[in-house]
Amino acid sequence: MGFTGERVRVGVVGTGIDLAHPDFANCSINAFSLVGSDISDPVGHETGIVWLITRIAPRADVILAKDRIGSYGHMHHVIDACERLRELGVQILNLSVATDFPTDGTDPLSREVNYLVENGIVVVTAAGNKGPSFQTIGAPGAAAFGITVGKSNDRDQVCWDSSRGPTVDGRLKPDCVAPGAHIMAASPLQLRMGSYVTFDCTSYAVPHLTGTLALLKQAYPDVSASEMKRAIVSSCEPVKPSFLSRTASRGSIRKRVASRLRVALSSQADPRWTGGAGRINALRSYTWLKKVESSGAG
Amino acid sequence: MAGELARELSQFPFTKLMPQSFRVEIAGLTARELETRPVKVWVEVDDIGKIVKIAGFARVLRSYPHLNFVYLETYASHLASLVRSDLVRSVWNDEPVRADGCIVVTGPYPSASAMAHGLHRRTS
Repeated sequence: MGFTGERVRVGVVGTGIDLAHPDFANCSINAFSLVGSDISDPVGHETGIVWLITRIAPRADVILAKDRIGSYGHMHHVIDACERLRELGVQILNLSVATDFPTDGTDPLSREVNYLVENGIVVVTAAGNKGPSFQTIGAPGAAAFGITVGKSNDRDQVCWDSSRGPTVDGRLKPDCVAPGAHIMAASPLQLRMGSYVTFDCTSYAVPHLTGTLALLKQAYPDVSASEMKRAIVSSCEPVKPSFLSRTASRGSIRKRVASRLRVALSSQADPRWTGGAGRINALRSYTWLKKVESSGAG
Repeated sequence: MAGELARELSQFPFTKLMPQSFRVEIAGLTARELETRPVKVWVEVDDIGKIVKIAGFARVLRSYPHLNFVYLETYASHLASLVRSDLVRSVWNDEPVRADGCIVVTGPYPSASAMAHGLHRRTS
């Protein structure tokens, strides 16, 4: 089909980027900072995320907004960055951040996500790494209109520490899961950790979906943000429950006991609180959108 | 002063303070700490034009009309007067967001060169 994300503008909010990384040589990446003039990435978080997006959608027009110095920022940093990216016309937004507190989606950051979606931007958010307890999804993952992504491993199992739903007000989240365990990605050269490092967090599940959406957006540029979310969620494949994950079985005795207890308790839990609709499937989403387009409903 | 403040706090709907951890944190402060502790909060109001009336001694840092939120800086002791107002629907602490704790292995990955050329099997 030959989709590369061309003519699709993707926004990323985060810790900065190392544009000197050789893998970015042929990519269209622009960056600006809201915290000074330096766009470098002293943490290495967003350099890897942009790298993943550009591996999936190599011709996408990526704009990175550096909103903090170091790992921690505050909600107002992220919201200001989102607003700048909206003004710059991004169509898809990657938000690999999460707060520590679970929320019902009425917090400022979740509202900003809903506002962006209402303005036609597809927003992909991280579920967070506070699992396996239920109701651990914070902001902006709790935003009703965003696509919240949990983390699966290479055996299609939801990872132990991927945050679980439902939201504090009882809505189903996460929406889906994507690979986020042991993901290799580019590292800023200034960190001197080598050109590539391996990540393990829901932050790295998000760019898999962001890149996929860039391809779908190129294929179907007129599809609305809500329709795009529907295409992703309705095309997911089932994932296995978390208590079967390798992480659980290989953990400490304390973890194993906790795992068994969780198995007992999980009979009362909705499996969608763990993995949402399942693991994303780009081809099925494409086919789904094709059907919608041919039926004239899109 | 502490007793007066405690009485004041008990009278007003402190459930407007969000998230719960912030509410607990504020409740644990002494009167002295309340007066000296600066806080940056998001105030949700129905009519953003009336924020000057609500804010009092607070310093409005920025307003977000599309979200019905005003971002302001004040002292913790002024939170009572904020949540007391009928115009205020909620007061959110400017909570930290994090993006750390991700890296598990450093150094070159065995199939790094293959993946760098777009053969990332996880993206299929």
